[in-house]
Amino acid sequence: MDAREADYAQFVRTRTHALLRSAYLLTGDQHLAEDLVQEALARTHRAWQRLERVENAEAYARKVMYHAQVSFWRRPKVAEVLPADFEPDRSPGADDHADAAVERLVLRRALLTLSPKQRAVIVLRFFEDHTEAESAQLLGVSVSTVKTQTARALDRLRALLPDLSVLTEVPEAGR
Amino acid sequence: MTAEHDRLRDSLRDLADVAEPTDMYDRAMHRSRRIARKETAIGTGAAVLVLVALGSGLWQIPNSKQQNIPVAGAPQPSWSSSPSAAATAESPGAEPTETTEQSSGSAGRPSRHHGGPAQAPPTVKPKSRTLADLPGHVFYTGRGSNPDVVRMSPGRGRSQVVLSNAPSSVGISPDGLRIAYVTDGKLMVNSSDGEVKQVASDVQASSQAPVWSPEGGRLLVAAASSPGVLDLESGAITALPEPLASGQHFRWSGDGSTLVYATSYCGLKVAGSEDGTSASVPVLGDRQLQDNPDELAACKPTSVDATGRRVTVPLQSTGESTTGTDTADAVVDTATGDLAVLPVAGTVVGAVFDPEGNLLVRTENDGKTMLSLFDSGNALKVQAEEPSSVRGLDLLAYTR
Repeated sequence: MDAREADYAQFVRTRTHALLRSAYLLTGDQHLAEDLVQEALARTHRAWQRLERVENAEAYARKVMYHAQVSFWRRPKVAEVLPADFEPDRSPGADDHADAAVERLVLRRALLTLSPKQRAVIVLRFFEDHTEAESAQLLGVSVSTVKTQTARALDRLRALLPDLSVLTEVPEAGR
Repeated sequence: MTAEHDRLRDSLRDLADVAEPTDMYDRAMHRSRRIARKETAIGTGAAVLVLVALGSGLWQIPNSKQQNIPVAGAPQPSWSSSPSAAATAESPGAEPTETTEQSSGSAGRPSRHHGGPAQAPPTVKPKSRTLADLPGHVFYTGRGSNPDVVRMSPGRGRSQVVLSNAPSSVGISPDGLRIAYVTDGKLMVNSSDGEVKQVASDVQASSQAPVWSPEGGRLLVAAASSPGVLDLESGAITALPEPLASGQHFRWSGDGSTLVYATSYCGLKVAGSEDGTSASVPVLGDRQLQDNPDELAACKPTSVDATGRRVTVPLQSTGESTTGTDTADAVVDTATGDLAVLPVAGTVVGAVFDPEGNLLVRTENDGKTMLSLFDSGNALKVQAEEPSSVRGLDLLAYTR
C-alpha cells in the first residue's frame, strides 16, 4: 500500500464513525447508513488525489453523502416507518417519556416522516450545527431553500411530536 | 443559543449514538473500484473513435473479437464475418440523421480488456421528445417484499396497478396484457380482462421468475426445482435439456431461438432453446483477473434482445452471491462480454429489451427521470421525461 492509499485508509478508519452517525440520522437504519457512507467514502477515494488535507476529504465525503441522500442517490432509501408504528407507547406505567430509548425511537420515527431534504437540513442545522449559509452550500441550494425546508421540517415535527418541546423554536437566523 | 437548541442537539446526538462503528475500508474500496469501472476514461485515440461514432447508433457495435467466440444456439449476426458492414446490417430502420455508416471496422466502443468501459458519449437527438409517442406499455414494480406492479401506457397517458402485493417475481406477457406469478407454489396468470387462472402447481419463483415465450403461448418456470417450459394450452411442462438444469434466471430472446441464463457463480451463458448446448458469455463472472480485470459479474439477466445478441443485467462484481436489485443497469454483448456504452445523459437506473429488440433505458439526471427508446437498429426514437406517477418504482419490463 503506497503512502496515498495509507492516508486514505487512515482517513476511513478514523472518520467513518462520525460519518455513520450523520448517515444514521439521514436514513434511520444502520445498514442504509453504511450504504450511504460507503458511497461517500468510495467517491472520496476517487477524488483522493485532488484532496490535499484530511479536513478537505471529510468535507468532500459529507457533501457527497448529503447530495447522495437528497438528490442523486440512485435508490433513495430510508428505514421503513408505518403510520401505525409512529404513535409512542403511552400505556400506564410505561414511563416512556423518561426512557431515553423510547425518546430515540420516537425521534427516529419522526425524522423518517420528513422528506430527504428536510431531514438533511435538520441534521445539518441541529446536529452538525452548520449555519444556514453553510447548509445551503453543502446541499447546493439557496439559503432561502434551507430556511423554507427547515421551517417545514420543524412544523412537521411539531405536529408529530407535540410533546417534544425541543422543537418549539427555530435557531437564530443566520446561524 | 437557547436551552431548547441544546436539547434538540442532545436528542439528535443521542439518536446518532445508535450508529455502530464499522470498518468500511474494504467496502469503500470495493465500491470505488466499481465506480472506476464505470467511469474510467478511455484513451484519447479510443475517445476519438467514440466521438466519430456519436449519433451513429453504433454504440453497441462489436469488434472483431466476436469472430472466434462461439455462441451456441444463437444465430450469428450478419456482421460477424464482415465487421465493416455492421452499420448497415444493424440499422435497417435507423433515422438518417441519427444513424450513419461506420467507415471502418474499428470498434465503436473500446474493449474492456484495454482500458475499461468507455465513458458514456454525449446523447444523440431523439426523433420525438413526447412521452405519448412511446408505444406500448412500460411496467414498473415497487420495492421491498410484495410490491405492486404498475403498468404505464404512455399513449393513453395513464398508469394503473395491474397486480397488488405481488407474492413473487412476475412475468409480463409480450403483449403486456397478462402477468404470471407464483403464490403458494401455484402458478397464476392474471389477464387484463380480470380473469385469474391457475395454470400449474409446484412452481417456485426464487431462482426463476415466470418468463413468457415470445409468442406468449408458453411460460418458462422452475417446476419441482428444475427449469421447464409450460405449454399453456396443454398444461404440460417439458423440462429443459439436462445441461441447462442448473441454470437460473432464464430469459428468452425475442425470436425464441436462444436462452440466456445465469450460472451459480454469476456468469452468463447462452443456449439454444431447443438443443440445450450452451456457451459462456466471456468475462462476466470469470475469477481470473487477467481475463476479467474489472471483476464484473452478472447474477441475473433481465431481458434479451431479438436474437440473443445483447442482454440486460444488473451489473455486479465477482464474489457477490445475490443481486441487490432486479433492475438492469447495463447492456452486455453476449458474444464478447463487452458492456454497451449507452448514449444517454445521467445515471442508468433501468434498461430492458422488448421482444422486438427495442431497448428502453431509464436514466436519472439533475433530478429528472428520463425514458429513452432505441429501436433494434440503435436509433433513438423517443426520449421524454417519465411521469411522476411512477417515481420511486423500478423498471420491470417493456412490451408492445
